[in-house]
Amino acid sequence: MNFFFRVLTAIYALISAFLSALVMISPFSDKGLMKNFLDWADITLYRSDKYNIVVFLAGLLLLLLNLFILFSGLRFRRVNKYICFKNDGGQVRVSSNSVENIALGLARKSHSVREAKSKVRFRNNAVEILMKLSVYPDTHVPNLSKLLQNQIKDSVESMTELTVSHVDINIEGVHAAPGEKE
Amino acid sequence: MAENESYLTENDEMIVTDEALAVIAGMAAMEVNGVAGMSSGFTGGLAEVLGKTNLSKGVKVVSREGVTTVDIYVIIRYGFRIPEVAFDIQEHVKSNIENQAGVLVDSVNIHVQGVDFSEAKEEGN
Repeated sequence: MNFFFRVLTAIYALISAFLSALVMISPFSDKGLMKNFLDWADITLYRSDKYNIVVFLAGLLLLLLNLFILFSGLRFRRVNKYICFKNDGGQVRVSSNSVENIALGLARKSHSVREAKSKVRFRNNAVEILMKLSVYPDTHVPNLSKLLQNQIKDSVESMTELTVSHVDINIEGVHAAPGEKE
Repeated sequence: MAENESYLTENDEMIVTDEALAVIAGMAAMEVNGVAGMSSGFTGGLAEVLGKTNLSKGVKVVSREGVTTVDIYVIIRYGFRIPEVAFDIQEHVKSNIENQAGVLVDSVNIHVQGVDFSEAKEEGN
């Protein structure tokens, strides 16, 4: 989600919050707040000579915001990045997702890893892997990192025949919950 | 091809649709050792939900001006070497399409969408 879209969503949320608050209050107010508001809006807008264009623009803005939110739901598929190589039969494209799968599978095999996330980037025909781990207590983090780094590098290189330039490991947390895995 | 020629006259034309080629390619790709499955994109997944059995899942065939290109989206088993598996798929798909449909395939592009761990885990334990 980019910044522009976030701003749009915020505007939309504000407008709908304002309108819903108005609707909620209106039955309890004696003078009919809703009616007053509508009268006020009608008079102020109607008196100005730009009535048409203001109302049209407001409607257009709401429509655009609606469309944005509608389509943002359909854009859920993450764009896969690929690395390509050619052989006699055609092209072979390996998605970053598959490299992530290898790294995740290896991390989850380890008994001291509770959760793992991985991010893969292809740069200059080499693979950069970032692992985000949360581990169980009593884990010797340097040993675990070294082991995982070697395993991931070896596995990825042997399976894909790509070069792994580095494997970074971020320990995001140590979980204090008793390790039930043992 | 040879059999077809016996009942096709010179003016006749045999057309094998891209869909038919896709089914052949999909079945051929699944036979290759190291292939865990085919990966369908968003629309393919939708078709499956709607109950359409899809033999050509994860396969895209494009024939244009006599040049046939096959795109295959696969998930590879953990532990197999991707370039080798990809090459096997290419060879197998090419030969199957050429034998069964008599269509020459220009290139078979392999898109590795994921790696499957499920079987490797069982071996490890």
